[in-house]
Amino acid sequence: MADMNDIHSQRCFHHPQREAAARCPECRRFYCRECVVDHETRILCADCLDRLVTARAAGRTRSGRGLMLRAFVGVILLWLLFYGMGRILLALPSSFHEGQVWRYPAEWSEP
Amino acid sequence: MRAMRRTGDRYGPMQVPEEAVLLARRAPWAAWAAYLVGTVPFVMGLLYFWSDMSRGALAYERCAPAALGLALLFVGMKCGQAVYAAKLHDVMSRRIRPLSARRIRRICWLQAATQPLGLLAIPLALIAMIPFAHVHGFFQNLTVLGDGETTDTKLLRTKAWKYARLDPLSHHLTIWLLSPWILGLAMILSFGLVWFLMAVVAIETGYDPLAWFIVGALLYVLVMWPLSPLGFALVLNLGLLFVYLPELLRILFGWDTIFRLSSGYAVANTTFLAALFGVAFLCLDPILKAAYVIRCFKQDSLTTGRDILVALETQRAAQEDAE
Repeated sequence: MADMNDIHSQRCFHHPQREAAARCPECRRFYCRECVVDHETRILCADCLDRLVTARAAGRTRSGRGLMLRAFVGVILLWLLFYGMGRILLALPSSFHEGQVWRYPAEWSEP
Repeated sequence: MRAMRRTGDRYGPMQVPEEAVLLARRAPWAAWAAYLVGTVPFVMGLLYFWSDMSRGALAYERCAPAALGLALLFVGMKCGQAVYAAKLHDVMSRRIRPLSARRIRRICWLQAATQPLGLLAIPLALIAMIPFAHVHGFFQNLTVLGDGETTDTKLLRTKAWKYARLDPLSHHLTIWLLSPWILGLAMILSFGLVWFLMAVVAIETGYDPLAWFIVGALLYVLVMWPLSPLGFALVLNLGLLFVYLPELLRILFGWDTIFRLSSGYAVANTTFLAALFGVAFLCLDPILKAAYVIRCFKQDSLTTGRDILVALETQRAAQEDAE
């Protein structure tokens, strides 16, 4: 709300002759309508957008390696989960798997 | 309408499941091919694994390599589902995003990195019940949002969690009607209850197969129908088909199979139940994915305005056709 009130008395950082239309949430400076752009649901100034894109491009290589590592960990986790499931299935008596409990409950209960 | 006002939902509770059916019917053949190529091998692999671990004499020796194979098939399934969801999203947004090899590779990495935790978190949330819808929605949203457009997993996770918490009434109804997890829970509870009655109570009270069969069938309906109504109808139909198909084959074509010789007792076999669930999963899951595509598209449109552009394009096309 304070931003909205401030905006009326502010001028664009790049064009002092123009009234400010928005405030960049990254650098907190005021800008006119032509100096800001909508990026991923946020209104950013051109400088901040440029900085963000450059940083993201630099971090992409790092995040690419991190993603591969997480994918590898994910496959290991899946392996363990399915292995656990297999061990549980192996531990169950075959009379349970064959559904003989419906036919011969008394026999099934015998050790 | 009152429910929408109370919960803050922006659309009617039945709107998403209904639109999901329509969207799945409008899906291009490439979307279905991607879905089936990814999902059918996993379902078949899971059934083979289940059957082998249930009765294989030396199955314990094969358990570890078979589990690794199943893990890779699971990743393949998630990739196929992500491509299916991306194609459905293209249908909804009326634009075609090319599916390059690089994008498919990204989808594979993203799905392998994000989805395995779901296999652990969703059953745990299902036991706890309260956060189930959020956790279920989060992983389904990751399938839809992890379409290879970005590899920023932090952004994807934030968006997926935010979208999972929106429109709770419609979300819960979608899960109740379409989620295979709820169907699995209903099957475990209903068949587990019948098993308990047969194995424990029947022995104590004296075994009367017909009486316990009737009690078991009634309990099956009473437990399963309220928990997963659509899944119940599906499983009942598929079960009847599976039981009577061998008999029909013999009557119509004279083909005698080993399944006919079990004379109906096969329904108590755990592999039969797993097969039933597998086929029911293949029927329900594509519609569930379509429902989450719609949810994500609607949430995205709040900031992009894409839904308005699509509506305008549709109107313009209709106008041009009329002229």
